Amino acid sequence: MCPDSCKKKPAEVLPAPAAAALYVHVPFCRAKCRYCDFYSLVAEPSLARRYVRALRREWARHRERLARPLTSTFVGGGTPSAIPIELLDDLLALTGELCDTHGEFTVEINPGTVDASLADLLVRRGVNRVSIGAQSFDPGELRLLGRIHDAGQTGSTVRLVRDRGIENFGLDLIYGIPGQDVSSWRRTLGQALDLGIAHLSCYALSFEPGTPLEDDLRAGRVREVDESVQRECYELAIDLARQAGLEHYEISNFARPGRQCVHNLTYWHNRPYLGLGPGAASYLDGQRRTNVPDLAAYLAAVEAGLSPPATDECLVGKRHQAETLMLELRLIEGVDRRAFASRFGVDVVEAFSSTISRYAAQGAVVVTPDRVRLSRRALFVADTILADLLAEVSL
Amino acid sequence: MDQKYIRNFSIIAHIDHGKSTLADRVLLTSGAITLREFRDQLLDDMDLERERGITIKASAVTVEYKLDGRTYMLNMIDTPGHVDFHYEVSRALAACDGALLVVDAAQGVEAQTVANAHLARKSKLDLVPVVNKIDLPAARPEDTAMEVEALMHTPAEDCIFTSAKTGAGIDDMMRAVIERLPAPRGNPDAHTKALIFDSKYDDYRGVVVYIRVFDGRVNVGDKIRMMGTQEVYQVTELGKFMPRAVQADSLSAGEVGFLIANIRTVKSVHVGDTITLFGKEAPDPLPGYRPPQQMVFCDLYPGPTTQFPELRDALEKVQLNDAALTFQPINSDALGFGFRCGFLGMLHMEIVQERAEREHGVEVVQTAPTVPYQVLKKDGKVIEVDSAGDLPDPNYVEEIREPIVRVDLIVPTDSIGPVMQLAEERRASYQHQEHLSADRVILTYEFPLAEIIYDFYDKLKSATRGYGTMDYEMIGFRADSLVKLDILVNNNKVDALSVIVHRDTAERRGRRLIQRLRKEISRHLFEIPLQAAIGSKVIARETIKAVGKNVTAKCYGGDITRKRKLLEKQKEGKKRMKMVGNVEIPQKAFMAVLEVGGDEE
Repeated sequence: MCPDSCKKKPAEVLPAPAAAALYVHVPFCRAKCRYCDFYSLVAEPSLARRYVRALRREWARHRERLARPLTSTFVGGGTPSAIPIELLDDLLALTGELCDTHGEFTVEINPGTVDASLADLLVRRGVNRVSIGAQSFDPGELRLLGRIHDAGQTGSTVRLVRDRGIENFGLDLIYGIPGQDVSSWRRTLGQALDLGIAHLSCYALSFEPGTPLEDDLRAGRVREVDESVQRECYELAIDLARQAGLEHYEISNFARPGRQCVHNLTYWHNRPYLGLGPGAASYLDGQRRTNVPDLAAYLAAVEAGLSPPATDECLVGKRHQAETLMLELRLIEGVDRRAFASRFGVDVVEAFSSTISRYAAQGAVVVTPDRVRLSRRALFVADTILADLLAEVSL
Repeated sequence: MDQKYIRNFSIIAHIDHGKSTLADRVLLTSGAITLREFRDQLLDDMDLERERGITIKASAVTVEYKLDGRTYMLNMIDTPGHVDFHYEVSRALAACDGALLVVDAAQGVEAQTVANAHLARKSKLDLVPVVNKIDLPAARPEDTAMEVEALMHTPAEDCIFTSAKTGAGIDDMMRAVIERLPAPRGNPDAHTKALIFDSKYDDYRGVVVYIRVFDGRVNVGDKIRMMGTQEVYQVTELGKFMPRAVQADSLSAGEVGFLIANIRTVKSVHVGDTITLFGKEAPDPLPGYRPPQQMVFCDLYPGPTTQFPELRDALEKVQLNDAALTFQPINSDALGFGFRCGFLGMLHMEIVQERAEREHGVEVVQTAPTVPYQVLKKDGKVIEVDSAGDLPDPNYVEEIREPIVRVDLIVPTDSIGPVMQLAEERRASYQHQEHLSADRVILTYEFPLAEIIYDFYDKLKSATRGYGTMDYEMIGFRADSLVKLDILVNNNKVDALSVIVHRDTAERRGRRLIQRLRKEISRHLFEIPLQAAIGSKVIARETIKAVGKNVTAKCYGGDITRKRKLLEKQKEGKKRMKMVGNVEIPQKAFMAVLEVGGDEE
């Protein structure tokens, strides 16, 4: 239950349903990309072996907290496909034992790390969805991002998984890459959609503090793409994805009907999940817990039979509501007012009336009897609105 | 005690010239405190007053001192050390018969030294000049004595040389207090007249009033009348601080002490007022009384509008101990319900705001301070206006008068040029200059008060490489070509941003002001036009662009906490926002009105 540190009486913590989603963080990559600030190290076989063993022990401590069957398992990173194949086999066996064939079982893979035997392994272990970190189809842009692959390898990766019957695969793309213009982005989108993908994520590049790319920005070696160009790229993605039969269902995500990412929907609906591995986040029994992103500390604790070091917080009351709103408003369909009311006992429009009515008057928030959602125009500035909703709580 | 064995005096000095350490030396040398207590004092406790290096509230301490076999009663009266409290200083000095004028041997004469000497002379006090801090390596005692001679037209040899820190010269100084300062010469048998020179609020005893009895006497149990406010009280307690409170049955002509009379609020006790006996009233009060005069006004609004009652409570509590604060409820079109508050000066304003927030926990949004204006209307009536928003329509206005102050600036000779230029930019009129020494000069100007209340002191410091000092005194109201500058945010006039300015500088100030606003107001989902206007004429405009992109793409592998913190950070430092129409205006924007200096972009 709630730790002492959060000082809330148990009665204030809403009873939460058991988690039915599992995330496994694989903190290894072949090479560190220049823009990435996720926790990962360049893979080293002996560390990877200890990591998989530790994962098994962490898993044993928590498995009872999951409801079965799981609705989704997501193995992400880092680059899961960057660790030695026999270790990935162990890892997938571990997680796959819970995944029923109807559940979504996703592995993130990166072009340039996948061959036929790895693709065979995925199928053998029951993986039924892959998410491919393509990022771009332009050689110059891939170089600038520090990716290890070229555009051709993305195509061959897609063929490897599709040939083995994994039809549910998606691509991640990045726009706003320094030097990128709308026509280059149009070409990237076109090539991605031509591959017959079931899912597409389009992320605007962000310059995260401490990354080499951010250093370049500060030193003036690269320049940020103009906001209006980025906006045009975003709008173009929406239009082309729709034309290709992909439905826009979240700010940055598109899917064929029935192919929305079940695992990510768990996050966006603010429902519980278990995360394993250094840097992984969990949300169980109303408590958020993030393992400290430090492999050495993680290994030391778990090998000593302890919980990995983590930070945690408890969400109660209006804060919990605001966070749910922050997440659900990212969905194009927005917040289901009835579901929100039955979850929290208040109408969302009343609870956040000052921000919602202000932005509704500006046409940025659309309120209907059933739902509250962002207007299309507001999606690209969503954080301005979400920050105001959160600020209502701190007052 | 026979009046000839009493001395009532004050120590007056520029900030940091060693006044409080000298006062503590007086206590030590007369045995009122121990050496250990003296050392503790030297270390200073960090309360609000000490932090600012000033004494906000005056008080008085009585010590007994033996000289040549006789015991003297010395009443040392403290004075507030800031120009905001000019009147309070003058009343504390009026309670004295003489003063020690202390000058730092390393710093020399400074603006407050001049102002204090001027005030002391106006109060007809005898002065003993003291050159302090002679132990400092940079001390120039003889040069400093020469500056004192130039300032006071008394021989340099009359100066006493001391070090409050080491104790050097303290005995000479005590002898001078007794031999060179006069004894009081009141009439113990005349109608009672006692001057109120300070008051403090005590949680247990109510108001403690500091008095100097000039004529007659006051006894415990007497019914007294305040001649200014006409209020009547019964004395429950009398005494002296030595420095601990020592009770007395009566205080008679020449004596200084405290009086307690079941008074609930300091508002009832006006500094400068005269206490007399009820039923045996003196025919005339002591001279020099005037009600507190607020020179700076601003509006305080609660951060969240729901905190209005808390803000009122906080102000009421601050007022318990601060008779000079005034406030009345107002309703701004832009900002809702709040209070128009009056202060003695800028420092006083800051102290009140800080106390309301620190001691009473309310979040305050403050508008830019303004001075009071007098408006002569076409119908011949004169009204007082303490907010630009209250200015009548120009069609009904004959003239607008603004408060003028006489300012003494003491600056190094080689920075006269930049200082004169600064004065000119601030619409000052030059009066005269006087050389203190070969390298320092006193420049006297008349300034519109509005031009010096905000950042003038900082500008003076930078124009003089930190050496310039200033002091000012109100001299009256004067008409000038003043206009109201309005600010429109998203096409709505924001009354709290209106300001009264001189016509010649209106355009520059308007431009500068909206440039500052453009920086302070964050981008919204829509474009926000900003305009500065005089009447219906727009004199400057700017635009705040709409937000183009503000979206974090990723889920961070389910690390929702991180995402939420990133969003919360966007609002950080933007507390104290006020919604005006659809636009969020932060506190800092309201103060932007004042920052007229600096370069335009």
